[in-house]
Order: sequence, then structure tokens, then C-alpha cells
Amino acid sequence: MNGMSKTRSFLIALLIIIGLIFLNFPNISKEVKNFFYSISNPVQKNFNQAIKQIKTSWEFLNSLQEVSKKNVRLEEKIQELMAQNTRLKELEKENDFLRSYLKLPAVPTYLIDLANVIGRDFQGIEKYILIDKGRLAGIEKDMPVVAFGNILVGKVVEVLDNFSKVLLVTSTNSKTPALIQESRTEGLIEGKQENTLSLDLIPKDIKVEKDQTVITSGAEGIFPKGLLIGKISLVESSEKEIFQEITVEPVIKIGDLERVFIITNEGKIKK
Amino acid sequence: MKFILSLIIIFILVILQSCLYPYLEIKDAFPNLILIIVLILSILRPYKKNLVWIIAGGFFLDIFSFNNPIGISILGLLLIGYLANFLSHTIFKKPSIFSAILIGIGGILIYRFILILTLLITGTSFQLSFSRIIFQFIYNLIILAPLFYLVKRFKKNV
Repeated sequence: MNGMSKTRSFLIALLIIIGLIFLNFPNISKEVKNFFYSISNPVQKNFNQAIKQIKTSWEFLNSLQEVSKKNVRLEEKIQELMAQNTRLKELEKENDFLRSYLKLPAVPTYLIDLANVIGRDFQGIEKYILIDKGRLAGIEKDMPVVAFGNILVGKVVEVLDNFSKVLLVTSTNSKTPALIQESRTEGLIEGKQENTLSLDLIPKDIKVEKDQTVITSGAEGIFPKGLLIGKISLVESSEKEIFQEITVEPVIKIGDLERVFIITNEGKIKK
Repeated sequence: MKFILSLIIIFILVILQSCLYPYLEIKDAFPNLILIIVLILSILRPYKKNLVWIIAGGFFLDIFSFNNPIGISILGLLLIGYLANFLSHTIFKKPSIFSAILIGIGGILIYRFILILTLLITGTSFQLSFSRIIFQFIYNLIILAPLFYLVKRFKKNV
């Protein structure tokens, strides 16, 4: 009896190990993951909505005293942005006119596809999100992913039938060619721990100031030029290092990401 | 019936963990609910009774972690579950919060080590952050201690 029980346990263990090896074959693992993400999608949506409601209510209760002051500040900011938007639209028209007059090539525009964020990696050492668009929606590996306002989120690294995995710009495995908008100095953005970024390859003779804006440079064709990454929060220089140590605070907040846009191809921007 | 109910609970816990992560994370650290529950159950119950939690919990952790090969968490939880059960019945006369914390310390460290080893074997580049590991460790222990107390009380009353 004891011998039979041990044999049975051994056979079960062997079956499980074979099953796990089998499940890790790329095509099978993708199908399995796609299946479970499809089941979990409605559950996650409901959880996310409920959590967001609780968070909003909590923030509202905490900020009651600040609400009217914040409203005034926000209204001033809206007016400032409206004025800025009007000036930018005029500049855009002037730009278009000059481009056609000088017969310069048109600025490329992009096709974008909207996707919902349905999951976040909580266990791994790298940072990923899961979105609900995949191969069947025309999504391909290495497509850039942005948030509203042309803010860089990351890029697609794995595509399933109905879902895709996005490596965030804040991941330590992520490297993004970037430039400082004000000085046009080019460098490389790398993810660091605790959701910050470092801007590398900036020589010490270049003047870098806090609060300068960092955008994608478009180099190497990885990401389109001009996507907002963050603002410089700390600049340090050491005699031993060739380059400055610059910390960039990313604009993107993982917790606030509900919807993202995938840049799928060159074409007209959908509004 | 109990088996299916356990599977559903495990599935929901993993999804809940994924949804709560951005709101409760501190310095990139977040408690692993499945790991904590496996540790607690392994201290309080015979090892074989926890296999559903270990296998299903590990499986769903790998599915929803996006980067782990399927099976790594199962392997980690099998090892930790066995060790926790062995230590709690040999070194400690009776399960207590003190023994749970001590076993938890070892279990959490071993689990993290297995994940890092996986990344090294698969050739995935990453930055090792000791501050993140320490925060994760403390965070897991903070959740483990009161949860252990509650589960033990519940088990006693039932």
C-alpha cells in the first residue's frame, strides 16, 4: 500500500513537471496566458473600477479643505494652457505654410490605437503592464505606447492574440534615446529603481538645470521624436565621472494608467 | 467543491494583488499574498493539504507576473512550503507568531532568491536593488504576522 502511494505521488509529480515543461513552449505558453487573461479581464476591470472609486472618495475627503484653493489654481492653469494652445496653433499654421513654401517634407503623423490597461506586473523585478489589444488587432512587437498628451509609456515587448505586454519606460531594462528640449542635448534615458529615470551620456560641460523637459529624440527609430518623458529633478556632477548624473522624474504614473495609445503605423492621427 | 472554491479564491487573490499593486507599493515593494498564505498554511497544516494552494497559487502567480517562466513560483512555493512545515514541526514545539516570523524571514528570502536565480539563468538583465528586497521583506512580514494570528484563531474556533 505504502509502495503504491509513493509510486502514485511520484507519477503525479512527474506529470506535473512534464506539464510545466510543455506549458513553457512559446506557442503553448502564449495560448495559455491569452486564455487566462481573457477570463481575468472582466474581473480585473471591476476590481480596478472599485479601487479607483475608493481612491477618489478617499482623496476627496482628504482634500476638502484644499478643494476651493485647488479649483482656483486649476482654473488659472486652464487659462494659461488655453493661451499657450492658441499660440501653438498659430505657430503650427506658420510652420505648415513655411514648410510648403520651402518644399520641405511633411511632418510624419501616426496612426494610434486605443487600449485599456488591464494588469500590472507585481512580482517581477522589471516593470510591465498588460493591455487588451493583441495580434488580432494588428499590434506588433516594438510598437511604441503613449498616454494621453503624447507622454511616453513604453513599448510592446510581447504580443498574444488578444493582449500585449508593454515594457514601461521606468523599467531598468528600458533604454530610450532622448534629448533635453531646451538645450537639444542628446542623451539616453534609463529606468532606475523606485520609478525614476536617469539621463545618461550628458557631458559635464553642458549646462543642465532642474525642471528642464526631457523628450524622445527619435534616434535609432525606436520611438517617434517629441514624446514627453519627464522633467529633470536632480543634477549631480562628480570628478570621477565623465558624464553628469541626472535624475529625471517621469510624467507617467503607473497607478493612474487606465488607457493608453499604441502607435501602430505612419498615417493620419485619429482624434 | 472545496477544491474548486480554493482555486477561485486563489485566482481572485492574485488578480486583486495585481490591481492593488500601484496603490500600495512602497519603494517598488509589495507584499506577495499567495506566498504569505502558503507560509501560514504550511506552518499550521500538514504539507499535503497545502498542495492546491502551492500549485495553483504558483501557477497563477507566474501567469500574471508576465515575465516568469510558468512553474518557477510553483517550484519556489513547493520548497518554501516543505521547509516551513518541516521547521515548524521540528524546531518549534507549537506554532506561534514568533515562529511564523522566523520561518517567514527564511521563506521570503528563499523565494526572492529563486526569482533572481531564474532571471540569471534565463539571461534577463536586471538591476539588483537591496533596498527593494529589504522593503519587500519587511512589507511581507508586516502582513504575515497579523494574518497568521487571524488564521490561527479562525482555525482554533472552527
